[in-house]
Amino acid sequence: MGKPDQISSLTWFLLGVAIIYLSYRLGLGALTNPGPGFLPFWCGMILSGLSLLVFFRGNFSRQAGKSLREIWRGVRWVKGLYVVLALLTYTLTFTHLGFILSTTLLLIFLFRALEPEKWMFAVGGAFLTSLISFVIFCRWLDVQLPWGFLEKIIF
Amino acid sequence: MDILHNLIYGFSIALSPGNLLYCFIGVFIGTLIGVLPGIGPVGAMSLLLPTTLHSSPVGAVIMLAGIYYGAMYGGSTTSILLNIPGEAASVVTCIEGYQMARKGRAGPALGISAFGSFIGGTVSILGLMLVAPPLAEGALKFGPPEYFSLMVLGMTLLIYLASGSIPKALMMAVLGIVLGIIGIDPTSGMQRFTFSILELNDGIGLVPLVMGLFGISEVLLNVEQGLKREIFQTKIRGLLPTREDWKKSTGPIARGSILGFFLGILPGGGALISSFISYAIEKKLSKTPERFGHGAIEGIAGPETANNSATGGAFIPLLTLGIPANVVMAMLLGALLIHGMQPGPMLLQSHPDLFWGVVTSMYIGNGMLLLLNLPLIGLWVQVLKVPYRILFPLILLFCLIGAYSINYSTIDVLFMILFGILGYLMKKFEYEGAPLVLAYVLGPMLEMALRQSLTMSNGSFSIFFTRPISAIGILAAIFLVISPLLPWIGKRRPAVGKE
Repeated sequence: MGKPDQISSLTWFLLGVAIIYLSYRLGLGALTNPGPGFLPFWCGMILSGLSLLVFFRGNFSRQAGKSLREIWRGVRWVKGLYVVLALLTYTLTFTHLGFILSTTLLLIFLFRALEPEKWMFAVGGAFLTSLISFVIFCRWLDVQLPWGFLEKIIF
Repeated sequence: MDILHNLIYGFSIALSPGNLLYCFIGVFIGTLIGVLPGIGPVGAMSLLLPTTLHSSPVGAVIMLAGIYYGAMYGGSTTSILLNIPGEAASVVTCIEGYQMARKGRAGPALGISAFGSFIGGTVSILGLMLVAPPLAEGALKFGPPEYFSLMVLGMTLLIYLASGSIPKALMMAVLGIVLGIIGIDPTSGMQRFTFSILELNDGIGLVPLVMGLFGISEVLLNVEQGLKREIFQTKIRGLLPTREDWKKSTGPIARGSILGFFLGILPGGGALISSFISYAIEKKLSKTPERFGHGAIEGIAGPETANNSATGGAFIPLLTLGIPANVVMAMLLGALLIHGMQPGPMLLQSHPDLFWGVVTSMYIGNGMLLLLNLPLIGLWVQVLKVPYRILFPLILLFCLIGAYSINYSTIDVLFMILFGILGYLMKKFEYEGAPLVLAYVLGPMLEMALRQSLTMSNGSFSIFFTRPISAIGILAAIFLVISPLLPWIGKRRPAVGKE
C-alpha cells in the first residue's frame, strides 16, 4: 500500500482512536454537566470517522495515482532532513554552548548546507549575524539568551 | 460627536512616539514580509509576537496589525514583478500584474495596487469605526449558545472554503480543537493529554505552533525545492496611473472596498476570499472580459482594494465579539490573551484606548504604507534579489529565538520543530494548516461555551436551535457541511482557503 491518502488517513485514524480512549478515561460526564473528556471524545470520533472516509476515498483523490515515493520525487528532501537535524542539535546544545557559539555553528552549517557559500562568507557571516542578533535581542529587546559555558569564563 | 471625541482620543494614543514607532515597524516589516515569498503575515506575526511581550497591549496590537495590512501592500510587488505571490491574497494580482509588467507597465500596476490598497484600507477603517461600537452593544446580549454557534460557523466557513478536500480540512479542525485543550481543564482541574510533561500543563503555546506550522515547514519546503527567482527585467517607470487607468479602476476600487469590508467581517472570510471574489466580479462586469488574463488593470485594482479592505472588516468580530474571523485574527487574539486582555463586547468599554488607538493607528499606517510602497519600490526590488540560501537561515534563526523567548524553555523550541515537521508533512499530504490554527485558538472558548450552554439547557441541544441567532449560525454551518454533496452547489465551491 503506497497511496499517500491511505497512509496519512491510517495515521489519523490511530490518533483518533487514541484520543477516544484517553478522553473516555478522563470522563465524559453527563449532558447536563459535560466532563473534561466530553469534547475531545467527540473530536476523536469525528477524526477517526473522517480518516476512514479519506482512506476509502483514497482511490479517487488527486493523489490516487501517486505512490508515496512520488511525493518526494524530484525534490532535494535530504536538504530538509539536514536542516531538521541541525535545528534539533542546536536546540539540545543551545544552553550548554551558549547563544553566540551555538548560533554561529548552526549558521555556518546552514550557509554551507543548501548551496555552499565560500567558507569565509559562511564563517564571517555566521559570526556577525550571531553577534548582531545577540545585541538586538538581548540588549535591545531584553530577551535572556544563555551564555553557556562562556558564562564561567567571562563572569 | 462621540465618534469625533473617540477619534481625537485615539489619535492622542496612536501619535505617541512609542506607538508611532510600533506602527512603523509593523508596516515596514509587513511590507517586507509581503514582498518576500515564503513566510506570510502569520509567520511574521508569530516571529514578532514574543517581542511584543515587553510592550504595552496597545503597542503590541498596533505592530501586529501593521504587519497584517502591510503584508497585503507588499505582496503585490512580488506578484507583479516575479509572478510569485508574496502572500496568499496576492495570488490574483499575479494574473494581471505580471502581464502588465511584461508589457512594460509595471509602474502603473504597482501604482494602482498601492492606491487601491490605501483607499480600501481607509474605507474599511471608517466602517470599523462606525460598525464596531453598536455591534459591541448588541453583542452584550449574546450568550454561550450564540458564541458557540458563531465559532462553529466561522470554523465551518473556513473548512468549506478550503482549497483541498473538505473532510481533510475538517479533520485538521478537530485536531486543532484537541491541541487547543491540552493542559489543565479549567472546570475540573484535571490534566488533559499532558503525559506528565510539566510544560504541557499550560498547553501548547501559540507561538511554537504557528511558527512551526507556517514558518519552519515553509522553509523546509523551499529548501527541498531549491527556490529560484528571476525578477522581470524591466525599468519601473511612471508609478502614477494614467487618467485612462483611473477611469477603468474607479468602479473596481469602489466595489472592492465594500465587498472586502463585508467579507472580512464574516468568520472564515478574509483577504484571500475577498480578492478572489472581487476578481470574479470585475471579470463578470467588464464589457471586455477577454482582456482579463492579459493585463487588465481592473483585475488588480479590485482585488488589491478588496484584500486591504478585508483587513479592517476582520477586526470587527475580534474586537466586538472576541471571535477571530481568520487565522491572522486568531494570532491577534492570542496576543491579546498573552497580554491579559479578554476581547469581546466589554473590550470597548474596559479598554477604549486599545480599540481607538488601534483604529487610528490604522489610518496612520495606511498613510505610511502609501509612502513606503511607491517611493521605496527600488528598495523592495533589491530585497527581492537576496538569494534564498542567505534568507532561510535568518528566518530559522528568528523562529528559534522567538520560540525560546516565550518561556526561556528549549521545550518550546522542540515543539516548534515538531510542528514544523508536522506542517511539512501536512503540506506534502495535502492537509491545510489554517483550519487547525483557527480551531486551536477557538477550541478552549468553544468548549466553555458548549459546556455552559448544556448546563443552561439541562443537557438539551435544542438550546442551539431555539435561540434565533444561534439557530441561524448552526443551520448555516450544517448547510455548508452538506452543500458539497449537493451537485449544483458542490461543483461551484470556490477553491480558496489558505491564509
